[in-house]
Amino acid sequence: MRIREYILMILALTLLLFTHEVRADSERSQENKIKAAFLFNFMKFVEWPADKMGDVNEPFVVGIIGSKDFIEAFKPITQRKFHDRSIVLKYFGDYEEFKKAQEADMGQWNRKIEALKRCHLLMFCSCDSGPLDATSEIINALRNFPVLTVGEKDGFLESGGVINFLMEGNKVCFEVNSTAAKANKLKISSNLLRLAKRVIEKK
Amino acid sequence: MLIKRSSTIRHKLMAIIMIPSATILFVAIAAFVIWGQIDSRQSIVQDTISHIGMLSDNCKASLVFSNKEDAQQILSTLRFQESIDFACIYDKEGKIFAQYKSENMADNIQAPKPQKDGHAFENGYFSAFKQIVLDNEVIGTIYLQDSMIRSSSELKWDTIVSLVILPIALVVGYFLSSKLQMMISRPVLSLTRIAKEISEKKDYSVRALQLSSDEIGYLTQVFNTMLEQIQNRDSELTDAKNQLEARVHKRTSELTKANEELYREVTERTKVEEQVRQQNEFLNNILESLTHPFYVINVDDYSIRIANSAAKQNLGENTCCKLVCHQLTHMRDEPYNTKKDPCPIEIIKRTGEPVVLEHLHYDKDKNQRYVEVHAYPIHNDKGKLSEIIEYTLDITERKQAETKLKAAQEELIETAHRAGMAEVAADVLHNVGNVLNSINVSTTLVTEKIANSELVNLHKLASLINDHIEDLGIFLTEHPQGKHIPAYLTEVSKCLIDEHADILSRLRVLADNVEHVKEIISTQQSYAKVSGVEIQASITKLVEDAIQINSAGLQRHGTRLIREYEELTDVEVNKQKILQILVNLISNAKYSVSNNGKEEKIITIRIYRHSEDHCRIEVADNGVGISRENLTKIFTHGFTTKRKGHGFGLHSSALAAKEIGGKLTVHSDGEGQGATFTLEIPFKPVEV
Repeated sequence: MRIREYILMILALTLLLFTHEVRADSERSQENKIKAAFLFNFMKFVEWPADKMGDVNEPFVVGIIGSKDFIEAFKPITQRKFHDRSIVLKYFGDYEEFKKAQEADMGQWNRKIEALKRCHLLMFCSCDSGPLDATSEIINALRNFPVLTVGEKDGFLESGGVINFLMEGNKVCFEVNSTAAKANKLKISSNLLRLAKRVIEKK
Repeated sequence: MLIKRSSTIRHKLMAIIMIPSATILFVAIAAFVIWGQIDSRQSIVQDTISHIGMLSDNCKASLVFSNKEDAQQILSTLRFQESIDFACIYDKEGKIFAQYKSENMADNIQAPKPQKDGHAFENGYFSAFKQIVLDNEVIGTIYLQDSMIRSSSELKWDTIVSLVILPIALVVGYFLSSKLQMMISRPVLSLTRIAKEISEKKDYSVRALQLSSDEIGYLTQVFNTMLEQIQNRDSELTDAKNQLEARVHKRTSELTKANEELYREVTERTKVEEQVRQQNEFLNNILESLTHPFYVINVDDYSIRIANSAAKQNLGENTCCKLVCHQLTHMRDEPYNTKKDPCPIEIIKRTGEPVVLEHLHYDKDKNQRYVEVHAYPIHNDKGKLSEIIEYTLDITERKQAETKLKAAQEELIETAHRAGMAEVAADVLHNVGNVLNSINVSTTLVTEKIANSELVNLHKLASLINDHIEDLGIFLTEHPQGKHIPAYLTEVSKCLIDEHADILSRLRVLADNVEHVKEIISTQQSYAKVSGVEIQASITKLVEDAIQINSAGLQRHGTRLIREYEELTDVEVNKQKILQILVNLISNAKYSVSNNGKEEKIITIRIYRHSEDHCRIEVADNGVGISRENLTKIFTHGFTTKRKGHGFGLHSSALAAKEIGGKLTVHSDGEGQGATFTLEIPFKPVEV
């Protein structure tokens, strides 16, 4: 009896640990899940210019830069349709690659940027505070191009990103840079703006 | 009932105006109220739908981003819509995401279960559900509930207002119509009043005032015209009535007269009818009393229309009417029409004239009877031959009598002929007698002569001689008686010679006479044989023959005969007949002169040619003549003035003259004046 109880306790503890980890992971993945859902929802409240949208057979391209965690979370989204289009997820590498390309090879940098321009939505993932530098360059490179740039780091909006995720406690929130949106020829629904925690509108 | 037949025109007009007006008003108001309600409901639906649209659009973001506060806030804008008293948003699981409740709503209101899209008016609320769709995906449901307070208040106010307005409008309408209906009612009432006045007072000189120029005005005009007409009519009527009375009176008298006349006519008609009936009866009686069968026969089908009882009796009662005439009487099926027995109908059809025929009919016992059929045509109104009257006389006896008569006649003719012949014969006999007379005389004389003849004496003498035969000589010479004998003988012989001559001449005469008689007889015989033949003869000779026949008589009576003959050629004549006539005439003349008591007895015979083809033989005498009344009778059979006459002579002479184509005439100045008989015969000269 006692041994069984003991084993059970150990199992429970292990489980707890795992679950903690898992929970910690799952917390993170949960957050990513929510963000992915938000991304999908953002798509619904943002209007791309018609020439960008093109033919209905063309997929909606969602690009991810940064960590790969988001990919997993966004996968279920790819099953859905957005305005009858299929959603395609593209991973464009992490920031270092971009950084390197930026510093080293302009050609590669351009190529990468060009690749990025084909996205409709570009998610700048950052698991933790990673280097932000490439981000602004990328964003700048993508200025005036109808790409919805979404980040999850502070200062993303100031760098020129359109939407930035925030965490208020456990709640996922977001803030919007409407000027950047306008610059990227994107129209953001007022409903979305209303729900944003903060809306920047630089003159 | 507002409108009754007997309510006044004013009431009626008012009712006409008010009732429709009220009805219309009511209906219009009700319509509008109802329309208002419908409209307000429509608008509620519209509003709610638009609210739902707006809200759902606005809270899409809140729903997907699970921002309940935002949704709540959005819903709270509904507080500006007073009528919406509850709203809620459900998430995609159907759990309430956000809700709104108006102030005056009970706190413990239960949100209904989310449903599919739809709206409904129930329990005094309007509720609507709508699904919130984002990019073809249902992210939630929104529910709105409207208390319809607006529409009910609208209804309330509508009703109040209309309930207020309606009576006011009706009152106004009442006053208006009250004034306006006078346009109609006043003229009508005026007309009514006048009419009433007129009908009460019977004064047709009153006229109605024309107050308007519509149909009522026209009616008034016409009314006045009618009144005028009535007035005129009235006066006319009065006049007419007066006239009529006079006319009626006149007409009554006329009618009475006519009636009387009619009555008279009728009685006359009855009388006439009675007369006709009597006449018919009379005719019928006549018909019936006819002992002869009397028929009326139809010419087209030979049917018997009328048959009297004599007919029926004769030919069988029932058969008469059924049969056709020829069936009945001739027992033939076709009209009898031979030459021997012609059908009277056919003859009448041909000639159209009455006809008398002799037929042989059968009576009811199928005996044959001779009938004399008299048939007369009857023409109908159009002048066409329609029937015939036929009566039949049974002439069987008559026929038999006729036959007998004919036989008798023939006999008579025969007799006459015989008589004529007899007369001739008589004449001949007469003549012969005459001749015989002379023959007689002659023979008597001769006989006398012979009787007294000396022959007797001779005989005596002879006997005397014979007695004295032995001594004849002696005797002759000695005997006293004998002596005379030679002288006597000579005498006797002289006498005998004279006698002989005389007797001879007389015998000659006798022979002549006998010859005459022979001639006469042979003539007669020859005449008898060929009595009708014309042969060549000399008239002169004939006359002489006739004279000769009568000669004895003529001589005896010492009649002087004067002959005045014209010479004529021989002619072809019927000798016998002429002879007969002439003999007769001469005989008569002879007789007449013998009794005339005059000294001179003259008979004159003339022969002369009277005309181209006639000659005349005249025998005139100065005898006793013929009285006027006997002149006409003289040639009649049996008439005679002779004491012993048979009366045949002149009659048969006249007949004979006719037979030979001539004529016998007489002329006498009267009794004692003599007479002249003239025989005229056709002169047929023989070509020599």
